[in-house]
Amino acid sequence: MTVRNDFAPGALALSEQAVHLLRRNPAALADYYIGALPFVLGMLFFWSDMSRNPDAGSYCAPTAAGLAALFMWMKLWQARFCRRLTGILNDAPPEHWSKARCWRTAARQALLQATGLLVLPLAALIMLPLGWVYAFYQNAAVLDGPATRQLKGLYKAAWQQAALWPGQNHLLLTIFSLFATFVLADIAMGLMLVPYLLKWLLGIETAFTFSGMHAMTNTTFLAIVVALTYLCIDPLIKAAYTLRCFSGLSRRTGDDLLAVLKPFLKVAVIAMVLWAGPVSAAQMSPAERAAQVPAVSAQRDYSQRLDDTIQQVLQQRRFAWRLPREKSPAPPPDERSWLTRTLRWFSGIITAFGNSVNRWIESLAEWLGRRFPQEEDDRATPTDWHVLIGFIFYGIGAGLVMLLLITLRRWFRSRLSVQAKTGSTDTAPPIDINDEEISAEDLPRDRWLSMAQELIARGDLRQALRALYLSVLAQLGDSGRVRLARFKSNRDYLNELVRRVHAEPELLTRFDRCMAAFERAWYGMHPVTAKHISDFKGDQARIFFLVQHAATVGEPGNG
Amino acid sequence: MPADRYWHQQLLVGMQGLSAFLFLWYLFFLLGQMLLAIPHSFHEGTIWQSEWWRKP
Repeated sequence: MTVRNDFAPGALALSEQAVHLLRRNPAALADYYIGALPFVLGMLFFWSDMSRNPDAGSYCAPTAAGLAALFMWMKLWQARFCRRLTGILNDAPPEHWSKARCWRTAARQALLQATGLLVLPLAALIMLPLGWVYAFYQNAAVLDGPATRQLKGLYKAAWQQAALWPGQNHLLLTIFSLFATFVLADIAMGLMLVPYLLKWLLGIETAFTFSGMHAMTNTTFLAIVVALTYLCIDPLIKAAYTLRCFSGLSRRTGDDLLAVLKPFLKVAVIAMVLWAGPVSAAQMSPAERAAQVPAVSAQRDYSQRLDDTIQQVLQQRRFAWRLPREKSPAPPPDERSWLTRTLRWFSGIITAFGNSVNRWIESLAEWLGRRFPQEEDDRATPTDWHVLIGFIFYGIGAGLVMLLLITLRRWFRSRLSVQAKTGSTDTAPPIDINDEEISAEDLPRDRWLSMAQELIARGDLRQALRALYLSVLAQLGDSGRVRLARFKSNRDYLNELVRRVHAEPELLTRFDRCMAAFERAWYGMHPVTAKHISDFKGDQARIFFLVQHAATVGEPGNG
Repeated sequence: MPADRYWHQQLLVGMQGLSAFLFLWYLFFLLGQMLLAIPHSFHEGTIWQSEWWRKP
């Protein structure tokens, strides 16, 4: 059977209807998030744990089992969400979900949607079948109802709807992809800006403000952004595919007509009652008619009042769009598609702009012709003004080449100055020891030690203690005991050390002592004496010896 | 519905759910192994802070 495309709702209209459907029924979103939030939180925990915790490999399997259970839970509730939307479209009461039905739906959905985790990336790789495959998996969630109790029936119904109106489907996916891109960028920027707002308004420092733009490059941040985007976009996509399936199925069932006509059925019943009254009165005897006269007149008054009320209601502004515009004849319908109309409009704008530029150039040429009369330049006659335009464009080209050369020269000079600065760092370190933003990774261990010696010689013992502490951290970072990062606190380094070098208790004790001494002096009010420095240097030298000794005997650094 | 058909249906649902769970378990386990195999510097983003473009 061939299907006319005229019945297909437009992709843009479908996405708008999806937004309105969700806005009018926000309670339906509760169904969605009951299922999706636990899975997304579990997935983020799994991702973060597997990417950071060195012991995560030992319990990867049980965690994956928990995630699989959460996935099944999410798919059950997504099917319930779509069924609820379908019920709203059909103006039907909410469906009953028994325990047995929940089990059946969860099993069916899990089996079908689990294959999507493999098939969808493959389809995206090939690109061509992605639209159909994506629609199939969305339809499988929408159509899982009493009519498709068997997996085979659900599979066939989902494929039938996925194959319907491919142009509309691909356009819908394009719209949602663009929308998702903007949402993703918004969420990423929001997550980056909120910590800075906290810092500026409330003075609260977070890991984001410590590490600046580098916080965006870790995989957990990216996973959080993608997960939040999914939570924002996916209900909308599911609503759009629910509407699409509703339109597709209505070609056979007429459910869409029924849903549109339902509000008018009450009016039709009243009209039938009013029409039946006079007909029955005409069939009465004269005596009966005489007896019915007061009742008929009362009914006529009632019908007159009803007509007046209907007229008053129809005059309201919100119903004005339903009335025919009799004063102005309707314009002939435009047979072209919206894409053609948009491209025509766009090309019209470009043509108008081109014409304007052309007029400007002609005006400029005329002005130049008046300024430089014909006898001063034999080549430039009033008719060959394009020679002047050619000169102007040559001038612009030469200016651009000059600009490029100047930019290149500046770039080379700045690069040379950077290299010169890098080469001169051996004699004049640009690091300010009082700066809270510096990190142990800014200088090698020897440079921190030499800086500490200079500070001790000047009598700045507090600053010298900090330089010594940073040299210890740099030493531990070089040997792989800790991974240096700007956003990490001293407690983070200690925890990392406890995790990695629990077999070296002396190293732990020495570092703990160094950290306590540094924090007492730097963050507290404790004065720093020469004895403190000497004790600290003893610990630092011992740590250096332990690290070197371990490297000599071949012990792994991060065992 | 006859009793044997009912039990057949229940068994089918159970098999569907179990096979889906095992398949999902395996997929998420592979995802976990993949995350564990990725270097720590990539997860923390420090791999992008080494200014590799300035190195010869």
